Amino acid sequence: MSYRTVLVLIGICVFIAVISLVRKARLQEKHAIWWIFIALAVLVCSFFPSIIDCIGRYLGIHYPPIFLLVIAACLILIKLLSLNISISDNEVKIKELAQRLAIMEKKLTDIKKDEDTSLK
Amino acid sequence: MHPLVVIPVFNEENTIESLINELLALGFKDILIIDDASEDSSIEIAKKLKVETISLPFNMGTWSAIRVGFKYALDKDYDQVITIDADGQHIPNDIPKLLNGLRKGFDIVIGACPQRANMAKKVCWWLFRKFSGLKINDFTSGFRAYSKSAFSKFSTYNGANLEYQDVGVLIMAKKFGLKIGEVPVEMKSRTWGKSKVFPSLKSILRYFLITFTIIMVKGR
Repeated sequence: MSYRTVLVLIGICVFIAVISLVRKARLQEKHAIWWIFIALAVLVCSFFPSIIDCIGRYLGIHYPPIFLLVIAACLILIKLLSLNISISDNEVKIKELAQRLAIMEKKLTDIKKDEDTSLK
Repeated sequence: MHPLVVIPVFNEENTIESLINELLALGFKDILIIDDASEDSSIEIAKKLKVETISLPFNMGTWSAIRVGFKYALDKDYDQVITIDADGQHIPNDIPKLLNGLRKGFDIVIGACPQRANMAKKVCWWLFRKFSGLKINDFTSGFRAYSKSAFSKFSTYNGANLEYQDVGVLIMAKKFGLKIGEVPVEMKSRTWGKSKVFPSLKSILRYFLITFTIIMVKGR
């Protein structure tokens, strides 16, 4: 199997997986954009491998498929970093919410206590 | 107005009662227990002693618990907050020393007892001092007094990103332009249980790496 066929298969698999995840509401559209872009880029590269060859030669890379690997590694790193940023952000938000919830619960208990005392 | 004494609690059923009784005997009536999702009877003991309690929905760590105390203090319009550990290491008799520090114009007063540190801790603190530029003798003491300007700043979203009540908090305080002071206090050795912050070598290493990253990124 040539690397073109492998690329076509990867592109189609990613595309189908993303579409099905969005349809099942397991992946939000805003996150799906990135993966659809990746799937399309892989498909374009598999149908027009000369693009990779051209850019690779322009950058002085003797074995152009290496360029593809470098780009893939960079994209993975960017995605991982953005995921960690989003996790950190969510952790802070969850903590803030939980702290506010705890204070609200305390206020509610105090109000109930005051009501009970005034009823007595 | 009396200061609010905030006590973050996580499984401290053996020491919490005596600490609350000591505080009450000294005239500190405004005590707030923040239960950081304890699995023992700490919170029931506190409720029995008729002090204010807030229970967190899940374990969030000491700093998060303290921030809840800060938010409560802001809501109830307190001017000063004292934080004290529930493990019985801090001596409530020293609270007036901390409050005196606030009266002298400091925003954060740390009850410092550097002599309690072992060799490894001393080396860590020396490194923290060297790289952070903070002239603090006791970085990890949780026995502190905060002025209103200090705890109101830490209650904002900016303070939410920290885990421990030490170097990160002090670096943030420096950035906020808050004045940090220290007063020497005595500390008792732990009579029961293990440290909650440093229960294992893994957690010490994790703490050191996180703190060092904070110093490198935010320090100086």
